[in-house]
Amino acid sequence: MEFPITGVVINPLLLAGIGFIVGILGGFFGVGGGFLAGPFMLWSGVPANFVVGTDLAHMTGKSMVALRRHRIFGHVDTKLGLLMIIGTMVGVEAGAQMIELLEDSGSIDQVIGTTYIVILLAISAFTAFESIRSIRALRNQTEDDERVGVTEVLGFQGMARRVQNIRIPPMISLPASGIESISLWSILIVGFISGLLAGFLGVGGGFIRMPLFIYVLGVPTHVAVGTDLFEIIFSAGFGTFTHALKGNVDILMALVMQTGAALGAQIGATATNFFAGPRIRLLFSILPLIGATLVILSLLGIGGAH
Amino acid sequence: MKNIPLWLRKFILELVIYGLLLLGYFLVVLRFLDMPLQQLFSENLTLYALIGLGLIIAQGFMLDLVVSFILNQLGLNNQEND
Repeated sequence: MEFPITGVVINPLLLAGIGFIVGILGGFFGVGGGFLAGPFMLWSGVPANFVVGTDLAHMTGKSMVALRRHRIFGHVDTKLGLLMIIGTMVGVEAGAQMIELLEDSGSIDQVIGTTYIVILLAISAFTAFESIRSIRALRNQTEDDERVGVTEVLGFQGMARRVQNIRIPPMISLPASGIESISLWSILIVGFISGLLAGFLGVGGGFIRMPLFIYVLGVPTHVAVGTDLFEIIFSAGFGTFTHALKGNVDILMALVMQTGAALGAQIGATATNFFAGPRIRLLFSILPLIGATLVILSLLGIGGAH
Repeated sequence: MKNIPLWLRKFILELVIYGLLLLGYFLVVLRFLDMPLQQLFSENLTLYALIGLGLIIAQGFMLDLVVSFILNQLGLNNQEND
C-alpha cells in the first residue's frame, strides 16, 4: 500500500504487526516502546524524519487503550501522574538544554550513547537482581500471606522507605498507590530526574520512570505500569503535535500501526493480572538490554537504531 | 471448546475481531482518508496536526469500545483471572 504523505510503499500488515508487538510491551510494562519501534520502522522502510513523530502518534492512541484497561483494574494513580508531569516537563527542558551545551564539544553522539548504555545496563542489572530476590521471598511467604493474596514483594525497599520518611512540606497522600504520606518535593524531583534523562537521551523515558516509581517512590508495580501510561499519553500527545507541525508525522501510518497496537495493548494490560509484581519486573529487566544492544549497534555503525 | 481456558477463547476471539476490523479498515477507511489528509499535510500543517491527533485518539477509543462491546455481548469480558 502506498502512503501518500511519505510517498513510500509499505505492507500495512507489517506496520500493524510492529504496532502489535510494541502494543503488548506498552500494555504489559507501561513503556512507550519507542526504543524498539524506531529501529523496526526504519527497517520496514519508513523515512528517518518520519520515524519519531509517527511512532509518538501511534504511542498516544495505544497508551489510551492500555490506560483504559488499567483503569478498570484500578492500576492508575491519576494524582501521582499529574504531579509527575510537572517535574518531568521541567526535566525534559533541562535535558534539552544540556544537549545544546554538549553540541559545541563535537562528541555529543558518543557522550549520549555511552550514558544511555550505562543507564540501561544499570537498570537492567538492578531490576533483575531485585526481582529474583523478591520471587524467592514470595516462594517463602507464610500461609497467612497466601491467604490474603500477597503478590507484591520488594527485594529492595530501603530507598522507598527513606524517600517516604523525608518530611519536607507539603506532605501529600497517594491512596491509589497505598502511600499514606510523601513529600510533594520527592515526587517533583523524581519527575525531574526522569524528564532530565528522557530529554537528554531523546527517549520517552518509560523504562526510566517505571523503576523510579517502584524503587524510589514505593509505588506497587501494577500501579506504576498504569500511571506511567497516563504520563505517556501527555508526553507522546504533545510530541505528536509538535512533530506534526514540523511535517514529521504520517498520520495514516500511525493509524495503521495503532490497529495492531490497540490489540497488543489490550492483551498486554490484561496479562498483567496473571503475573505478580516481581515477575513483571524480572521480564521488564530484559527491555533495557534490548535498548542497550540497539544503541551499541548504532554506535558501531551496524544498525540505524536510536 | 469447553476444555479451552476462557482467557484463550477471549484472545482468539479478539484476534478474529481485530482481523476483520483490520481488513475492513484497510479497504475502506484508509482509501477514504488518504487524499484529504495528504492535501491537508501540504496546505495547513497546524490543522493537519490537530486532526491527526484527534483521529488517533478517536480511533483508539473506537477500537477499544467495539471489541469491549462485542466481548460483553458474548459474556466474555469478565475480568477475573480465569
